[in-house]
Parts: sequence; C-alpha cells; structure tokens
Amino acid sequence: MYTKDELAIIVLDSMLGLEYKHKINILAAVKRPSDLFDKEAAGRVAFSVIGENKANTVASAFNDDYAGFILEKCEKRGTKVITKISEGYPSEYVNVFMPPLCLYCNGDERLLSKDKKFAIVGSRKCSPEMLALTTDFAAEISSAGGIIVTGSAGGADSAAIKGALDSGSVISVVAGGIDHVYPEFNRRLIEKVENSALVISEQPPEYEVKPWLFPMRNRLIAGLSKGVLITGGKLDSGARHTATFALDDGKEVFAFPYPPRSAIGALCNSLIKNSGAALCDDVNDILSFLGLERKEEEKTELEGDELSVFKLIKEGVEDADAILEKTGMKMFELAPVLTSLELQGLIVKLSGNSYKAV
Amino acid sequence: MVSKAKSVVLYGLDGILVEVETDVAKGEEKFDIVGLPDTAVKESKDRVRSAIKNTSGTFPYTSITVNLAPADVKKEGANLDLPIAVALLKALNNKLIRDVGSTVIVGELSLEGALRPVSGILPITLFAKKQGFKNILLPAENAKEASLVDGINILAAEDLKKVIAYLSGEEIAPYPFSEFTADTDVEYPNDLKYVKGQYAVKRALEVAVSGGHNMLMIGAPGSGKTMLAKCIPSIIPDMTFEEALETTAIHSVYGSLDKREGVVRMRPFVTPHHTATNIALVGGGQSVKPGLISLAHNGVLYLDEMPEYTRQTLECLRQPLEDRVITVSRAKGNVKYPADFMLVTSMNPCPCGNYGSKVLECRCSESQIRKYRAKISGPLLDRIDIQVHVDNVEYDKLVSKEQEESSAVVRRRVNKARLVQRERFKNDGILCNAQMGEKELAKYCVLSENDEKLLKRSFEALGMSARARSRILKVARTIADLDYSENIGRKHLLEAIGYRNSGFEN
Repeated sequence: MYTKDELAIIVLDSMLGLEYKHKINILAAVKRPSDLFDKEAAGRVAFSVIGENKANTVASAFNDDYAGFILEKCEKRGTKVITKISEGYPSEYVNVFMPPLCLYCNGDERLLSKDKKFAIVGSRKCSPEMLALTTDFAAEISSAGGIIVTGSAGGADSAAIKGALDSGSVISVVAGGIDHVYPEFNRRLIEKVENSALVISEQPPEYEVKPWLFPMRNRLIAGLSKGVLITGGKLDSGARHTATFALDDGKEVFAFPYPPRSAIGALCNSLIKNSGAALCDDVNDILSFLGLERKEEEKTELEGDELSVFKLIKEGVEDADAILEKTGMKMFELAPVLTSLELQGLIVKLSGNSYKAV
Repeated sequence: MVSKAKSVVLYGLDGILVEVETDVAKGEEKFDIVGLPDTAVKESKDRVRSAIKNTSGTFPYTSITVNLAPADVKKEGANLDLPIAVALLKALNNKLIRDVGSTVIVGELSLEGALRPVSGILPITLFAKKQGFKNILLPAENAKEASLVDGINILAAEDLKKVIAYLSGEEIAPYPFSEFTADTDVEYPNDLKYVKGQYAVKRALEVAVSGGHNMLMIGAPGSGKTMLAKCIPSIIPDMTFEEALETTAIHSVYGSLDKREGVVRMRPFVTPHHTATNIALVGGGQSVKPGLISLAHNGVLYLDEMPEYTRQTLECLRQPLEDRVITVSRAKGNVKYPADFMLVTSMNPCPCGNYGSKVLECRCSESQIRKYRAKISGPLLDRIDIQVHVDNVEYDKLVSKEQEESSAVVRRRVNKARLVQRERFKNDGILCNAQMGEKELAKYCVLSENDEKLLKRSFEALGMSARARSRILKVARTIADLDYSENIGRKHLLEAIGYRNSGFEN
C-alpha cells in the first residue's frame, strides 16, 4: 500500500503535460506532498508555479478517485511504483541529474537496493563475436554477485540480458512507459526479465516511447551503476551518452578494444584514447573493480588434444584452418575437441569458424 | 473392319493403358479420332496419313474412325502416332498378320515415316512390364532408356517401313537388356581439390552428403559458398539401380532426359534461380508436369542466396521436405511425384554481406539484418540438420601450392558410409540417416548414459531448443558411420553438436 505522500507524488508524476521542473517546484512549494490533496492548497501552489491556465486541471487531479484509477492501471500488470520518498528508492538516484520522481518497476524491485550494480551497454549493431563476449562477461559478472544494468534494445543490451538472466541479476531500464515494449521483437526477452529479474522506467506506464527519451534513460543506467562497460558502437552511438553521464559522475568506464579504423568500435577506441576509459579485455578487470571474485567452477584438467588446442586458441590462433595446420590434426578430429571446449565454457565460437578463449 | 493396337499414356508417373481401335469403312473420305484426344493427338491423323503415304505409296480414300479407349481419359502427347498407324495399317491390309495383342506400341511419326523418340519411355516400359506385356515396340532412339527394364522384349524401329515389315512377319531382334552401372570415373569440373582451406566446411559437406542431411551455409560474398556447393556432385554417393530408375522416370516425363544416355546415372544437382515460380518448383501446369524439386529426386536441390527466394516459394518446400513426395492437385486430379532431395542452401549473414567480417564494415541496420533473416521461417530451419559458416580465405592460402584432398577420396568415404546405412535400414524402408523417424532414432541412435548427460548439458549450455535433439542425433549417427563405428561415441556426438543449427541468434 502506498502512503498519502507517495500517492500524491504518483498522481503528480502521471501528469504527462507537466514539465519535470514544474513538478519539482510544486513539490517544493508544499510542506508534505500529501498536502496537495487539499484542493485549495493544490490550486494555490499550482497557480504560483504554472500559472492560471493549467492550475485548475492540476489541482482537480488530486483526489482519491483519480489516484485509485492510476494505481489500478499499474496493478493490472503488477507494476510497483517506487517514489522519490519511498523506502527502496535507490540512493544512487538522489544525486543523479533530474532525479526521477517515480520508478515504475516490473519484477523484483529489491534488485535496486543491491550493491555492485554494473552497466553494460553498446550499440544495437555489434559484431557477433563482441556480442558473444558481452553475453559471457554479463554471465561472469552476474554469477559472481554483480547486478547487470542495461537497456532493452537488440544487440549489446540483449546480449547482456541473456548472459545475466540465468542468475536473475539484471535490471533493464526502458526508455518509454513500461506498458509499451520496445522494440517489439524483443518482447519475449523483456518478459523474461520481468519474470525473473527487473524492468524499470521513470515514465508512467502508458507513456509511449519517444526518441528523446533514450538519452534521458541512459542517465538512469549510468546513474544506477558503479561503472559502465561500453561493448561497441559507432562514434554517434547512443551508448556515448551513457559513457558521458558516467564520466561526468566520475564513474569508471570500461570499453572493449577494437582494431584501428573499425567503425563499429570507434566509440570504444575514442573513449579509451580521449576520455580515460579503461581498456577491458578480461572480465577480471571488472570483477576486481567491483570487488567480486570469479565463481570457481569445478575445473576439469584438460589433457591431450583438448589441452594443445586450447593453448593454441589462447595464443591467438583462432581460425579452424590455422589450428589444423599447426597441430596437423584432421577436421574430424578437431571438430569434437572444439565443441567439447565450447561446452566447458573455455572458448566461444565467433562468427565463421573462429574461436576465442574466454 | 476393326483392328486394335495397345499403347500407354502417362498421367504423372502412372501409366494408363490405351486401346487404339480403328474402323475402316466405305464411304465419304474422312479421318476422325475420338476418345478425348488433346491437340497433339488430334493432329496425329495428319502425321499418320503422310507417314503411311510416304512409306507405302498410297493412302486409301475411305472413311476412317479411330477410337482411343478408355474414352473418358484425356490423352496427351504424340506417342499415340505409331499405335494409330499400326492399327490402321492392320485394318487396311490383311497381309499384316502379326498379332500385336501383347505388344505395347509407342512412338511419334514424322511426315516421311521416321520414328521420333517420345518422353516418358522408362515409366511406360515399367508399366507395360507390370501389366504383363511381352513386347514393347518403340522408336530406336528410346531403346536404350527402355532397355533398363528387364523381362520385356524391346523392339526398336527406326521408321514405319521396319514396323510394316515386322507386322508382315519379319522379326526384330530384341534390344539387349543393359545392366545399370553408376558413373564413377567422371572428371568433374568442380573438385574439392581446387578449394583451398575451408576444412570445417568441407568436413560438414562430407557429413551432409553421407547422411543426406539438409544443410545451410552462411558466409560473406566471395567466401566460396557457391564453389563449395558446386563440388557436391563430385562427392555425392553413387545411385543404386532403384534410385536411378525413379530419377530417370521423372526426367523422362519432364523431357529433360539425355536420349543417347537413356538413364540418369549421376545424382541430379538442381539449382533453381530465385525467380523460379512456385509451380516451376513443385510441379503443375497444364499437363501437371513434375517440378524442379522432383527433378532433384535422389539428388541435391541447391538454393543459392536463400533469402532472395520469396517466402512463399520457400514455404512450398516444407511439405516435400517432410514427406519426400509432392502431391500436385489440379481439377483434373492428383498427381504424386517423388521429391526426396537433399536441400543445400546458402545465404549471406546480412543484406550487404559483411556482418561479422573482420575486415569489412557492415552497412546494414539492425532491423535490416533482422528482416533479412526473418525471411527464413523457423519451421524451414527446423528441417536443416547442419549449419556451417564459410569464412573468407586469406590470400596467401589461396595461392598456396599445397595439395588438397580430392573429391574422389572423399567420395569413396561417402560411398562406404552410405553402404553402411543402406545395410542398416534395409528393413526399415529408408535409405539414409536423414530419413530416420522417431522409431529409427530410438533403435539406432542409442547414447551411453554419460553421453546422454553430455547432450542434456549442452542443451542447457548452448541454449538449444529440444527440437534440435533429433537433428543432432541423426548427424551424430552419420559421423559414426563415417567412422565405421557401430555406436555413437562421444566424439561423434560432440562433432554433431558443433554443426547444430543455432538459428539466428543475436
């Protein structure tokens, strides 16, 4: 159940036609948010903040019926609302630029108050091998106890979600209202996150997604996390906003390295070169930054062909043809070895017939 | 006076026995053909008239009626020329004493009386033999094709003159039965020895061909997908006689059979262009002809650049891939054509082709890539057992002088693996591993307890759908066969998992 104060904020936040600064000013003008339910006081405050035109409309919204109507809409999809003054409002957001008045949560909202949140973001279009790495990193971090914060788009976001979903430690921050799944093709994945982890938004559930909401959303991703990993993107990729927000807040930014002149990773390289982002080529970089330890799996000792092939891949001989050449094996001998290593989680298959040691 | 001759017309691959009756009577000069003849049959009276006139010098001025029984079946094609001529000659000339009651007669006539070859001879001969006929009289050029059938006398004639001689009592020596031999020593224009590197893909090809598995190759433009696909005929297993008969019958009906060769010895490799219509692919049209997928029966259907085909065209393939036969239904009736082909397809990773490339930049947006891949539906992907990526080959490797394994060597292995399968399935009514159903899977693809666990683990680790299980087992069975192993071992299973069809994630 929500307190009267919380209800007042929820009602205030639901007014889509009202600018953020006005909402803040209205709140600042009253002693307690619940005072707004006094029609006369609300009218007075609204008049002083936004002028005659809308004051009446705003003031008349503060009644139990309308509040109940909004809550009912939220409860239909099991959405919980955490207001600025609620218990469980993430402390990270107190200092973020334009702290959200309300957070609309589908899923396990306790994840918000957990420590060691770490953002993984990147372009919607990443190379397949970087996506594989992203998934792998997300899985490692989340299984070690970190919480992955990311968006909801395809590409890097989805890859990060896929990696972290198993341990249920992922927060997907969506740009529009929570009722509007965007992008549509990702509905399944986002629903999975809602069921076993958490999806949040600062917009009221019915608010449709708009292009300018994405940079706004990115401030929330950066704000919630201790650090950010940029997995890839062109120079003008939306991920640059996340990186900039994080850098401005003095947070640690990690980036995957890319070959020179690679357009698809130009953002990462420029972050490393110009903005002091940390080059990240090993998940331990992030784990040690978060103060986490890699969960030790029961390691099986490699032997024979598996050992020699794994060593080669670790040395950077990634192509199946090259491995054959180096070892003198035949493809029918190598194929089972590669799959076995892949199943043991020691290597990942990149695009084509190349492999990378994890 | 009425006289009769027997012939066969085809509906699809099925024969229909046609009795040709002619009646010659005094009266006004006329030449009528009744009994639902189509245009080609109707026109045959003019060919018959000229052929007889030019062979024996005269054609009588009498009233001639030809009836084609059964009267309610539409008769098509020109292969009724000869039986009409024979029946007519016998009616006109009582010196032609030969009894043709147990002889099937087919052939097209030219105006000067020469016999032209007709299509569909093999299924006609098979049908004649099944019906208990002793002889088949046909154009000389068709003899070779017909001679694949044992147990029926093949009487080949070059022209009407020889037929008349036969009818008047002379003998024609039966064309000898020719034993079927698969073509083994053919120099193929595309040989695996010309493909440098690409060992992973070559191996996948070998496995796919050995077990008849459908296969998808994904690779950037210029990576050699088409070249690899073109090598398939050079490693494909030899055809058995039964397979060759089935395939020849279809090609014969389609009219694409090499008449001098008379039989399809090599497994067909059919590459329809992506503008091919659905009908061209599955069969149909006025005379319900077989489509390209039936031409690829017992062979390979190669779809290059699969997403370029219309979605509808691709979906047409689903049912034949499942049932290995296509039923073409028209108002006239249903025709069943066998369509048991191995589907080999290739596609780019994205519309521009550079997605995933280490060197080149991909210019496609995420949604473009998604749309491109969405053209290939899940159910179709479900029927593809082996998915493999084709990498660009580095320049140095391309020019290296190193000797690569030749197709002939691979083909030998493939043949042996096929032999193993044929032996195993001889009581199950299937020919290769790809055709296994749940019953055969349970019988022949038993895993040890440990391997079963491994498979389960890999499903979890690699996020595969449960439907992938039977695909992996089938491929593992083939790999074990290539290794002459009675049971599926761990290494076979592991390799098969490597060829899993991972769909298009990311």
